[in-house]
Amino acid sequence: MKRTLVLAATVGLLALQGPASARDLTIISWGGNFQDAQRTSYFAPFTAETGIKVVDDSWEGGVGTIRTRVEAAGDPGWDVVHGEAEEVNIGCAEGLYEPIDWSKIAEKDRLIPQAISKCGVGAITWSAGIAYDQDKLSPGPTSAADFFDTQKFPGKRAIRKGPKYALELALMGDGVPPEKVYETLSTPEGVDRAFAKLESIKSDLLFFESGGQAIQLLASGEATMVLAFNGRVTAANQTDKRNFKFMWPSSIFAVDSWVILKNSPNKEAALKFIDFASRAEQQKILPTLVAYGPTNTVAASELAPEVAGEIPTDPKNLVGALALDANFWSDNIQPLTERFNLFTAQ
Amino acid sequence: MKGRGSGATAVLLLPMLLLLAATLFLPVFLMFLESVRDVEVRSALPQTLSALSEWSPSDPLPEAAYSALRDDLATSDPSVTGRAASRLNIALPGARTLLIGAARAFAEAAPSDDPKTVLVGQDPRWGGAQPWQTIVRVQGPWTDEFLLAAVDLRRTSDGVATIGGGLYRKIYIRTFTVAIAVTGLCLLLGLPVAAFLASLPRQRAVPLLLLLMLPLWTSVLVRAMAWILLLQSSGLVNEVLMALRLIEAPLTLVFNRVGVLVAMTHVLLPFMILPIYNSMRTIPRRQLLAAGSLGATPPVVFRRVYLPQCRSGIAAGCLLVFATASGYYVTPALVGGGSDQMLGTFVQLAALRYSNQPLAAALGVVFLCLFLAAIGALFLLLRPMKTLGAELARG
Repeated sequence: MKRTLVLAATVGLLALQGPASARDLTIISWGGNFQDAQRTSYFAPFTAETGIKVVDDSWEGGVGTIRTRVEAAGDPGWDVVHGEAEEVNIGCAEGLYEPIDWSKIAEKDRLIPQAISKCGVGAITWSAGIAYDQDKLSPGPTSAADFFDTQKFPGKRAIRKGPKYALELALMGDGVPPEKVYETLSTPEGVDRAFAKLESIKSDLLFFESGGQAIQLLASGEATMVLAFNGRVTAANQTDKRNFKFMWPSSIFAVDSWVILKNSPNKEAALKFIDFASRAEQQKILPTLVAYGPTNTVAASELAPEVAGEIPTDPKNLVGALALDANFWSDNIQPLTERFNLFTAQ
Repeated sequence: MKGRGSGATAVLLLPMLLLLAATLFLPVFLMFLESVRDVEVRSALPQTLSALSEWSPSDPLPEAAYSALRDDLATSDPSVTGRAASRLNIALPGARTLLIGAARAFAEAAPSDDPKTVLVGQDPRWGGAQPWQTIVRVQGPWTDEFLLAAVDLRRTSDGVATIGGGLYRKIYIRTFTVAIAVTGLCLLLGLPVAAFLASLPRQRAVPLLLLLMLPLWTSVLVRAMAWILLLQSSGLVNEVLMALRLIEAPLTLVFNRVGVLVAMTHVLLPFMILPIYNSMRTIPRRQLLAAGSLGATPPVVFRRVYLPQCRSGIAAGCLLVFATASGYYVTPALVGGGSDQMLGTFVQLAALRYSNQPLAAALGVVFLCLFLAAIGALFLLLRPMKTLGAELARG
């Protein structure tokens, strides 16, 4: 009897301890076919090359999510996270990430400047912009002003539930040149101006929650124009044989980065993974699967022309585009979101 | 003997009390604490605060403040500074960049450089009183700023004032309006269904009850998406109505309040039907027949014999649906429009997007108080305990 008890206790202890001490490298990204593409271009080849097992899961973003994990003390449960510029920014200032040892990133010199920061290594470039269905709208809109012109293009417009991208688009639609957008938005008058522009088409505005919904609204004809992510538009054209068009002028482009969570027990493997994911050889695979751009300039230059034409960093796609200002949003996200919610509530 | 009995009861109750303490009272207490604590700035900038202790905004800033800030930023752990920067940014948007920038500027400057020149050179805003005033204002260690912000109030030099358009008050009203409407709809739809089920013999009621439970096995997300497909302007509902020539143009049924009410009622209906069905099943049929044979018309039988006896079931159903509906978050986010988002969305925004956990906690505290008041009112209205007590007394 006694022996059985001891045995049971030992087994119990082992079961408790087993997974904790030998957790596989855990990588968190945005899910969906984007993460499928990352699995093919990064996770699987990394395991094949190094023998390091990778577990991947998805998240919904928000620096608060990361803070909760890191502040719980001990193992945060996640090692590498694919985050947006704002999350990288704030989290780094708050000490939620391990600083990157750049000497371990072999192709550092090939990365675009926005991909290099204290805590983050650029993973992809992506754009948010106006998209429409060429089968239903011909000729289509050519400028941000057309998004707000419901006389010329009748129908609903769908934007994400939140001020980010919407306010930038509103100012560009009101004639502010891209390089002046954040300067204007930093003044109370500029914010008023952006909201006034949104107000002008309020009865035609729809608000969506997830990037997938934007495409669905466009596909069903519920919305004539949507504010969408470029990769989703290309994916809808390729897989569902749609004839959607993503408008590059007045689109807003941003860089997402890999970060390593503080106190990660797999720090070394995590850095090794990030080094692997920054190589041109791996980075040129991803854009063939989803239309997000590499941060490695060599990878960008080696893409086939039909692939390169669909990604944000292609030189002709950058004409009239705006670079997202992560600092602006990490400083102003709360007051502007509250104002935006008041706007939608009225 | 009696003493032993109550001792045993206490021991038997202990696990439940511990569970309640660990899963309910402690988290609620911590939530309250989070909403009033304000320690980030005082732990990162102690010397700056003591240099500013005598200062009033109308005076010129003491020179010691600049060097104190430099020393604080040099000695504090970067993560402590980062938290203070996030805290300052809540009080003064832009202060995050300001403080992080100051830390960087001091790190790059030579120790002999004049701290004031370094600071103002990095960002001219440091030359003004505002950043310093903000540092003094959020020195804690306790604050009512977040609880006030959760009811759209803000302290000013002369008392309290309402902030902007009163966003959060609108949200509480909206949340309860939706929850009450959903409870009403569930009751309206659920009562006849429960009465019908209760009138069936058990072997015929069980398969129907299983059918009723079936939707509970699908994810809320999937059900919301399904409703979008059904209700959108090119969806099945609109197409059928148009084919029947009942409407000319498609109705807007989703991404507005209609969609929210339909989808939430669908999800929560079983929680209304089951408790009502349960209480109805215990009502003896013979009572109804007796009432009928004594001359009561069917509506009178229903109102005076049937309904009072299933009151506890109705109350349980209403409480369940109302409580669950008040906390709803995913469904309104997906099928609602801009003006249908419920409180859950705003708590999530504050906690995860704004990095403003105290505000999230304060919204929770205010909501909890309002919610308890609402539940109390519902209790008084439906008096489930009275009928329950009466039933117990009847034995």
